[in-house]
Amino acid sequence: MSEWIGRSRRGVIALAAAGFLVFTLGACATPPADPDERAAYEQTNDPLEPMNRSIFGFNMFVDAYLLQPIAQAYEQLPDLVRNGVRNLLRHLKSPVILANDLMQGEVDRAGQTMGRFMFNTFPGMGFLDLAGEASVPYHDEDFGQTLAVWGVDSGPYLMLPFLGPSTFRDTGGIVVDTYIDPVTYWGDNSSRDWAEYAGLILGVTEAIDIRSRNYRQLEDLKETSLDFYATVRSLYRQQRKSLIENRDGVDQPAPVPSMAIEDDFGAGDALSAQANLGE
Amino acid sequence: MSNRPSFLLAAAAAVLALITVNATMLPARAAADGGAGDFIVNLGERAVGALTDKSIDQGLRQERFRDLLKEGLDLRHIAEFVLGSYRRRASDQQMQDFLSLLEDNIVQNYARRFRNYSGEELKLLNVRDGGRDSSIVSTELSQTGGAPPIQVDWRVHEVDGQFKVIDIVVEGISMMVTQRDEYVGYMRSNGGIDALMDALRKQNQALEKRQEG
Repeated sequence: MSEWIGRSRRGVIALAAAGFLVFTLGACATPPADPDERAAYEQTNDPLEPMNRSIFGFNMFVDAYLLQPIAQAYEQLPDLVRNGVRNLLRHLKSPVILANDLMQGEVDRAGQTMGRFMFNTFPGMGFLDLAGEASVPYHDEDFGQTLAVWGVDSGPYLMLPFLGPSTFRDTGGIVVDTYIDPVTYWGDNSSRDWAEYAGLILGVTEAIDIRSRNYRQLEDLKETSLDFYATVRSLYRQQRKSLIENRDGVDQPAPVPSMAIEDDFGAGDALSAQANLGE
Repeated sequence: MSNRPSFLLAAAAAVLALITVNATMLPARAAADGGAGDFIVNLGERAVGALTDKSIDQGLRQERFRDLLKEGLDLRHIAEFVLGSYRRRASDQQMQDFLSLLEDNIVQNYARRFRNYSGEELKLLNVRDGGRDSSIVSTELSQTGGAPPIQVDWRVHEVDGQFKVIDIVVEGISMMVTQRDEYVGYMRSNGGIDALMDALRKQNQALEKRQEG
């Protein structure tokens, strides 16, 4: 059992959060009776909002006293080092990305992932992104996105402790990705003590790297937003939508959400009322 | 925080602030899109011309920004959109007050960013139909320091024969949708449009004070 748990810290945290949910369903927000408020309630698809807001408060606390100071120190490192770290983190994600490319039937993108992995392994040991410079750009993929491609709805919004914004679907995705990830198995089988925590170490490093890159913008956003929780929720949903549609290439421009005020909010996703994108 | 919620701010900076325009693609495009691409390019050029001068004081910068804002954006449409379903219960007077608070808020939040302009360039990619009598003008904003360019899409429609921007979308993140979700979130937990207007009023005052100090 302990071996099983050791398999993935990230997955376990997600599972624990999911389990925690079952016991806190009592904390559900009651759907408002007022029709306008009800429309807003359904659009946000966040029935666990009171609990999510508490967890968000906790995450903000961790961010302010732990992540942010570390990220600021990390930001002082030379670009060469920071880019090397990011390249290595992305490199190590390649198997998971490849598996998800394939499960989504994205043969071209799977080829790109595989090509990048081989091209970047030998000369650069993962620290240099030579493939990216040769215009085979990095793309992200995870099992939450794969489920979406398979037609699984996002489900309610979910704020995970430490891991940040998610949904029921994407949380399930994190658990599955952990089981796909060779890093997890390498960690289990290695005799080195720290190896068991390899996944956790990578996750923390990634958080520091991302936070340091977005330091200024995030502070600005936090300062100007009247409801930072709602802003983050909105950004998460929109960004996931964009990632799921693989609109990250030059030839496939990012989707542009509908701006018609008559639409109000469609069912579920804020962006489900996608514009007729000129196709 | 996982992922990159920062695109909004990249947006803000990109969009309202740091624009110069690479107009080389224009002649071929202008005819096909009925002038929407021209309009965006022109707006960007004028913003850079009027607002990036580091020697002008903040008051003048804000004044010029406000003029461009009123001319280039359909603020009425935006104000109605960002109130979400709450706009239906807003009285005409509330709508009027909200409009003016929103305008002040945009000016207070964004005008100062023009000072930090460092030569980013906006390149027109294409213009396509956006449905409901709107067009989407796709542009690419170059970044300084070797970062990859950011895709910025502008949704525009015509009001009395004049193009007006109704949304700015950065890498798939819509500023207006984000703003609406923030405001609606706030109104739901704090008691409707009056609470929102109080909060905006306070924020505007705080921002104004900070710029003076």
